[in-house]
Amino acid sequence: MNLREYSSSDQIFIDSSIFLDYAIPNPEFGEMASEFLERVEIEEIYAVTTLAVLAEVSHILLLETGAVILENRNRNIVMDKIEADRNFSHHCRDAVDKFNEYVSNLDGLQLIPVMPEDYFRASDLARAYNLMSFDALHLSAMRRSRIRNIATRDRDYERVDGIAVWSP
Amino acid sequence: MVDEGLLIPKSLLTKLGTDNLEVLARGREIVIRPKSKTKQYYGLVGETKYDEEFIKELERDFAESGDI
Repeated sequence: MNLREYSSSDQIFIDSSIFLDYAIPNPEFGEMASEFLERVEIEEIYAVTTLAVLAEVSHILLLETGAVILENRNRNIVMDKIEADRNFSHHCRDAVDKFNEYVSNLDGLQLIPVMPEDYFRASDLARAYNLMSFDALHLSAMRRSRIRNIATRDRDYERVDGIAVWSP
Repeated sequence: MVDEGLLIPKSLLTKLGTDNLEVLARGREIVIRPKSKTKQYYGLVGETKYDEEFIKELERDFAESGDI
């Protein structure tokens, strides 16, 4: 379903792909991700995410920024440089800091915790729906919080029963 | 003040700049309103080209590093 058409008062889970399309930005989907997040900012939509999603976005933004500065998309080179060069690492973290600043200004976004039981149930969900581990962890936290909508570009969630997938 | 924002003379816009302001109408007079945080931070990584394959590699790295 088209993310632009989301109008429910029910909470919607935001996956990392939406934040990444917005932050990097994706020429094809960035504008739509931005429109959606603006609706979250003004509390027209109530959204949730987890620290696990934010950690994933931060990790990718850190390495993407490093790749831009080095003009090199070899992730091992970028990672080694971040670990070895404190000054370079500080520059790369600017994008992460900006992202954190931004997310903390999204009034319609609530952070839900990932509980120990989410972690243990994730393994069953990963098997049942053939999901990657982190996707299963997000799904597990969603289920416990009774959230039935997800904003994502990840088609794997379409295999999951009882979840409506909204994509840009 | 109008419904959508603040009506100002065109000359004032040059002084204010558009970093934090959204311009809704241009003409003899201009309507401005504060830019949303979402508009201000859009593309926060800066000058880059979205590389889907590279992003996917980074996602896989992250997923594998925390395998359940």
